Amino acid sequence: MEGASAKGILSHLSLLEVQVRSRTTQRQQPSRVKELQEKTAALRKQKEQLEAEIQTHRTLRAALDKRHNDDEEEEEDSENSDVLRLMARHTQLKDLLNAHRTIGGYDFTKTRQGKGLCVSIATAFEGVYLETFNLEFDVKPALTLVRHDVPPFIPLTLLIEQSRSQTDIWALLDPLSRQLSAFTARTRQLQLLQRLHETVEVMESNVLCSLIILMFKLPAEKNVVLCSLDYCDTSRSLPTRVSFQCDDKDLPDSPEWKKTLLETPLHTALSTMRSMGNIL
Amino acid sequence: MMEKMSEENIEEVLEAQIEQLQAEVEDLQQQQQDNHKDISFNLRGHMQDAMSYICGQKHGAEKEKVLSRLKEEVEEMEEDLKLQTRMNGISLKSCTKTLKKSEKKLVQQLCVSGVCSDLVFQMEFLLSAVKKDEQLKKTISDLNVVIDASDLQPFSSFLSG
Repeated sequence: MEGASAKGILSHLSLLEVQVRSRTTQRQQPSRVKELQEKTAALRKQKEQLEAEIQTHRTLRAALDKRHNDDEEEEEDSENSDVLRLMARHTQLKDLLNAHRTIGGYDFTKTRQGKGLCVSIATAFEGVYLETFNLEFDVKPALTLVRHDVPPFIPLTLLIEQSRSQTDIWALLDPLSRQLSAFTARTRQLQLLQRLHETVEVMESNVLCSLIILMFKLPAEKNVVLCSLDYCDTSRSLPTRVSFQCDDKDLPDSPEWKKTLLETPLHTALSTMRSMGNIL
Repeated sequence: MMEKMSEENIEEVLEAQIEQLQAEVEDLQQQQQDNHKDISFNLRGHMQDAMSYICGQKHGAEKEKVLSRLKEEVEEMEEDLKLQTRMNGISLKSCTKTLKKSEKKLVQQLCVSGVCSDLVFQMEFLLSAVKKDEQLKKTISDLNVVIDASDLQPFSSFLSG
């Protein structure tokens, strides 16, 4: 009696177990499908966003390359075409403003709701951008210089005086820019000289780099030559006067050296003189 | 039994779709990467907001805000351009192309055309910016200049011919 009913109970329990297990697996399957459906939807959304971004890039690129086609515009989603048009114009303007800054000229910025004007003067030498200098003016009642970062050895006050009689701002900016460019050019030549020609010693140079005294070593007699470079015209990056001093008063090549030093940038002139075996 | 089979089918179909979508997304992401290398489109601020709006990441209600902020910025830039043009006396049309961009170096080709006084000119050059010891060194090279004018004599020393 007990055995029969025990078997009955066990088999009944087994049946129940199987039923529960199959119900659980059935419940898992729908949630797996749901999971996959959610993943599909997320990927589709990601794809749409990427496509929208890439299409916008294409529009902006076309605006920059001026392949702007009116037909193309109509095909676009009219809901967004106004945003796209603005974005395209923004890109073009940014490009043009960048070009203005890069090609030189002066960078003007209005400040203080139009009451002020900032000007940036960029300098460069041999294709390399060097320092930028800034001036801030009050616009009214008359153009007045308020602040600047021009070094004190540049004759700014003098230039302002000289330009006072004239009405436009270039009367000041053009000569100032020439002085600043020449100054950074001379400084740069000195830097390059020190880097490229360690055998040449810089005996003296002033902050304005308008007077440089160098010491050359001559190859044969182990003599030294002192070379003075005078940049009397500070708006130029080449010297106006070159003179030599040597124990051996006979320097046969000195007229040629003078010509080289007067006509080519300092570091280049020295490279020439060294390659010709004139100096060490 | 029948139910189980169709569910398996659904799963298979979905998994196949997912695989395809993943491949398409990867492809698009690669295009996006290439686009991002073009530094002309280093989108920031209001431009970035506008881009996010277009990609559907923002809601319709935001459109007015995005549009008005961007419009304001564009108007400021138009004023700025007018100022530069007036003060420098040069009217420009330009185009920038990025040629190479790495962590330390950026090379761009600029093609600038414009008018200065009565002179029509075109020039192109390479602008390289190299990061060295925390300093940015900018250099110009490969300059080509073409001028359209009746008397080219004063400019002959730097014209390309």
